[in-house]
Amino acid sequence: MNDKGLREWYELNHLKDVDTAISFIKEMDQYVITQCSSSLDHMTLSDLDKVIAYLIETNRNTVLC
Amino acid sequence: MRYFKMMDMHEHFIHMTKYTGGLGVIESILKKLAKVVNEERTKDIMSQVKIPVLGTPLHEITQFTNGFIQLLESKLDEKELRRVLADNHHQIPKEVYMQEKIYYEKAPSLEAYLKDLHDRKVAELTNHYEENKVWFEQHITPEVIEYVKQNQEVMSAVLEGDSLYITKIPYDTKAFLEAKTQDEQAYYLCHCPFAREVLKDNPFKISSNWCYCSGGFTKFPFDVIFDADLPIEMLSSALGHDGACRFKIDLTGIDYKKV
Repeated sequence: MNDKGLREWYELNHLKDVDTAISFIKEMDQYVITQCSSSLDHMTLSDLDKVIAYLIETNRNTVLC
Repeated sequence: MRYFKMMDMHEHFIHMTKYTGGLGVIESILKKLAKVVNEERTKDIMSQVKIPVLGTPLHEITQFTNGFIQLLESKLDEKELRRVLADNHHQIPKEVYMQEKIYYEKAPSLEAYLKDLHDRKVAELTNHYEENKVWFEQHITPEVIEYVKQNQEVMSAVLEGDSLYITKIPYDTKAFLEAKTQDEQAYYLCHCPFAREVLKDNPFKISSNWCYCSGGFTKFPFDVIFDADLPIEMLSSALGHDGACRFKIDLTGIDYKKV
């Protein structure tokens, strides 16, 4: 996973709970690696649909944005 | 989404907007419904609506939309249906268009304002092209810029008589311009996260009355400028496979600046 993107992502959004945000992105990255043999930085759009389905399954779809 | 934006992963960002673009829209339509019809009729309709959760697969959303518009058509007359749907259901704050109101106030006429608005929008697209930035949900190419430049109805409006004519910019203008068939054109025209996937394979048709919601989005800047709830008529639509999403806004009774 791309450290530069991750750092800019949370700095840009002035996230209060940076640890939670980083841990969420890392979890998503791990999910994509295990389920799609890819990574967040290189996944296909179809992999992205799988991530979205996973977030719905785990009742966390509101974090999509 | 923010991550993809930061990483310049344009395709992924655009794909996510297909899911998030409809956030709060159905809730807003139901809220407007309560203002247009009485409590009993509102309750009757609302009891039959189950709003899809965020992230619902896009083809499932179109099934919802089909059922929803059929329900509204069966319970409302045409005037009520238009009033309910043609509103600012994406909940864009008025303040977003206050600067446009100032531009209009400074312009010598409505026609001059519309010309200036169009020029500014062409310049905005050109800037996005030069900086390789995604403009809302689409990539900008020289062909897209030329398409917009050639028609003032796109991203602005043309005044004829007391009516404004507006043609919406396609959802994916580049693909729209390259489309080989009318069906392909319709798919690339449609912005609506609730309807566009049905245009991909056409498993069923969604009534083009649904596009009055898009009409509400289209007229909102002018509602702000004239401080009015302007009447709008749909002339052609993507759901109708008409080759363009075109609307007419009636300015009868509005004291707009004439040349």
